[in-house]
Amino acid sequence: MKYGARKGRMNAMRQWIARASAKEILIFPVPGADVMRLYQAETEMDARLTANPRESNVLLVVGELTESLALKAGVAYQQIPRPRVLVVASSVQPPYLPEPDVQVSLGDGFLDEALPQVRQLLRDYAWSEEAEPWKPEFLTEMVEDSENGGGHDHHDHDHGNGNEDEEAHDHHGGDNHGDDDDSSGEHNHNHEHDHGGDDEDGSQDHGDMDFMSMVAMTKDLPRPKDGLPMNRSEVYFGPFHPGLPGGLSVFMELDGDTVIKASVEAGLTARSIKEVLPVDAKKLPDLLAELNPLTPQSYRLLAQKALADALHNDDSMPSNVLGILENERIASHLNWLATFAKTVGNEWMHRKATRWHVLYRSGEVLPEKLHAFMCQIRSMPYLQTKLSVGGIIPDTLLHHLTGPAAKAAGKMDDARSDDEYYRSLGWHPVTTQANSAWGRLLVRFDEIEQSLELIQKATDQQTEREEINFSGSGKGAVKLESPRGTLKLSISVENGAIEKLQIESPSKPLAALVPTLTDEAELSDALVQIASLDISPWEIKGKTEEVE
Amino acid sequence: MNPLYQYIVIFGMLVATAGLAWMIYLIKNSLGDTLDEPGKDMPAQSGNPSPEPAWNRYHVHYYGFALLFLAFDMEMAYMYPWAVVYKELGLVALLDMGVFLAILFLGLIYTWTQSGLKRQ
Amino acid sequence: MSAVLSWIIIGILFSAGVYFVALLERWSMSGRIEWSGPFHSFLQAFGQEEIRTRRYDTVFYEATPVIFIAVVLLSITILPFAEGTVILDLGTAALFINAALVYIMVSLIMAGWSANGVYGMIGGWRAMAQLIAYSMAVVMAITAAVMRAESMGMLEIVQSQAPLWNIIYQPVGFLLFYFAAMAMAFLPPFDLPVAEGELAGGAWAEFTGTRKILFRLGRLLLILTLSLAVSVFFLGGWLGPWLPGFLWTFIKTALVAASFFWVGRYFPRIRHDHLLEWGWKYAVPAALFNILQVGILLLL
Repeated sequence: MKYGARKGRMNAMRQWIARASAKEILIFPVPGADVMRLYQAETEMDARLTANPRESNVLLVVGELTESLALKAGVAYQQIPRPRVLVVASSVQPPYLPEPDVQVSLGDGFLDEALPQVRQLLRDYAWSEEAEPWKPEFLTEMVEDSENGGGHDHHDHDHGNGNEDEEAHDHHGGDNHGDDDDSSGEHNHNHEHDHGGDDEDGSQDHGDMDFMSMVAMTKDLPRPKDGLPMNRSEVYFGPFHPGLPGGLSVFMELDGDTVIKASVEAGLTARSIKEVLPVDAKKLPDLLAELNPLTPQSYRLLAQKALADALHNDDSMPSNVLGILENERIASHLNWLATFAKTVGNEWMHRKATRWHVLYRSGEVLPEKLHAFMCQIRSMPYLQTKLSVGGIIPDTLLHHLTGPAAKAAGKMDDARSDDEYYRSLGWHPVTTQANSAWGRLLVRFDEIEQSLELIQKATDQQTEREEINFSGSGKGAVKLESPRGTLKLSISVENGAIEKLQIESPSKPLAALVPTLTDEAELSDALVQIASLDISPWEIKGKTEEVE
Repeated sequence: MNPLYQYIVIFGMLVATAGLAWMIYLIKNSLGDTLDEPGKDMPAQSGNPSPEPAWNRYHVHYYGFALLFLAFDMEMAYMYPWAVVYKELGLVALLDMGVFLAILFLGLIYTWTQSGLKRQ
Repeated sequence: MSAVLSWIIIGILFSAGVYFVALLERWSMSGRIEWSGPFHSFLQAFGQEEIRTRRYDTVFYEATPVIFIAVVLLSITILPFAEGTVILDLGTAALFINAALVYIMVSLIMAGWSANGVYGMIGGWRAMAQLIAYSMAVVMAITAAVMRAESMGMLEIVQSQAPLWNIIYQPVGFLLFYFAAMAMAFLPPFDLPVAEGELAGGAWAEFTGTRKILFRLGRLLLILTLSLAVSVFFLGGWLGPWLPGFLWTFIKTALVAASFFWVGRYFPRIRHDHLLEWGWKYAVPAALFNILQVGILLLL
């Protein structure tokens, strides 16, 4: 535990404290608690999940991380106070992080295997003589960049800032630094560059005259609605935020606590499968299932449907497939609800939703109790008022939208309407006229209830699909209703190998909604509305084309 | 105990609490220093590096409420001694303070109608 | 029962009260009761490194946790545990408790500001919004209790409830003070400053190690103090039939503290716009009505 232990020798008191702290394991999950929930029941483990790296002592990496996410995970790891343990639950070691202290393979209940090892490490190695500071290149560069003016053009600030930063970075046990100069007139660099106020602070880098009046600082900034000259701050919410889906990073410009601009950060979770093509047609379902760790079964079924369409011209839906799809829909909505409960701020809802998610993952179905749970939430006092503030999707943006968000706004598009099997079971899409986070919550609950009924009816009739012959050629274009919206896949197969592949996912138009939805909204409303959209960060396209 | 003595005791308690906190820090320091690593001291922003300071002119949107709070707080300063002698003085006290409260209440109603009681 | 013995028993009961509130808090977060949980939590935070953020505001950062816990301890000294058993029988106790507990808000703002991070700043300023929302309810409810007792001293306030407890005499005041006390201790659903799902820890996120211990311990003590204040002002303090006075106080305090956690699970986090609006449009008129009602009742 070179990079996770505190420096020093173990003596009696430290041993006692280490033993006590080994019993209290606080986990910061990367990329997020929702990915972790697919493998491990949050409520049944002996450890707790935390919202902030500062209050945790374990960084848990679940699954494979893309490079940009791993970079942020490295930053988060550095922010965890020692003693800390790095647990990696995947077969690949992520970049930008040190050697994992505990490595387990990803599977059901992986944490039960890892926790005893974590405890033992915390107990025995909390203080160690071999502890060293972790100084990876990317962090040292990041810190140096920030010392040199943080990426804006006013280089005459370098002296002032550089000195201040160097003083402030030297943290040792009991020292206090003379940071009082900084505190009185600290000049912030985090607003836009097109302001004139900066030019006046030539006085700032002389060291003694650090004070600049707020009036001068905010002289030429754009004014908010009530005309007062105020500063803005630029913040990121995510990717490891407890109230947003894991891996989703939203960049916001805040005026006090009003959101002026918000946009989903692109390129964090992009995965490329272009380089894997051409690939054997048999491997397509597994390949697609890896694309979205939150709803693997939908992607697998999509691939199978596309192959059946391409090779046999038959894209009907047999009943066992329906059971899988609808079950995943319920599980996905419950997983979403668990994260949403955290954003909304009700711990009871979060715990119950996690328990239900566990039950549905393991296949136990208790329709009446789930129905009772949903009724309890629907009748929760104040919830409707809170969720109905803002968040209206304008009609102009409804074109490309599918899924529960579109249904709440009144658009009845659903890929399942074209499927005769669904029609034969008497299904039609659900729609509500409440175009807000409350409406989206209700739509998802209605979908859960519909899925419960469908599963009930489908188990009465068992049909199977004929085996797919994987050799052959053809082109297929299919749609499937995943929990978040309509997925469209078109493939072209030649002699048993996939040559071309194109996926359209529902999260991309949802992510494009974020700026409009959160315009001039209060921060907590903005976060609630973004969380209610249920954007899957694994489905947003990156900066470069990742699937073709 | 006369009031002065009581306040001295209170002040002594403040000092004692600060001393207690200081002693806990001393014990804590014996547990070892904090290792200095790059990036450790940036405030946690869900995994993003946040090297820039956050001190700026923060736009509070509730200043309408704050002004009203100031007015009512001044009123409450007068109400405390009034409350102590209320029962002795009887109806006169009720009427006097009633007039005062009614005027302030009208101020509240005025702010309400002028849409001062919402997010600015 | 000699004074020393009763103080020792009160000390033990008080520590048991703090342990009880810590258990309740862990229960509200994880749904389980872990009997040794609070101790492990305390020791784990003790063994953590202390990280101070870059360019933090020294004075505020160091002073905040101390102020937080100091004012709570001060409030405890003026609250009575049994007849005649109060550390300091301050003549202006009712005013003092409100004045001291305002520093909770000051401490939260200082915490949010000093750590120099955006999440913390937002949390800090929200703490002030919360104070503006609940403060009038607290002050006016206390004033109504003082009117009945004709004195600001705590012993007289409890003794004035001997015929009829204040919860029945002034129910509106009780409800206002109850919810305002939850807001003062920033318990869910009023946990705007330290919102876990929105601000990932908010105002006190950047405090690690012993400073965090002071904050968390201070908050537990604050919950206990506010429960004690609710029971002294509205539930009759030590008054009760068969048991000795201090046992009644602790039973009532424990019940109120447990109810704080129980009530909180039924609501989502209250938006700070709504909190301010309802505080000023509904709570202040209700509190004024309460004062009017108590005034009329006292004259009859």
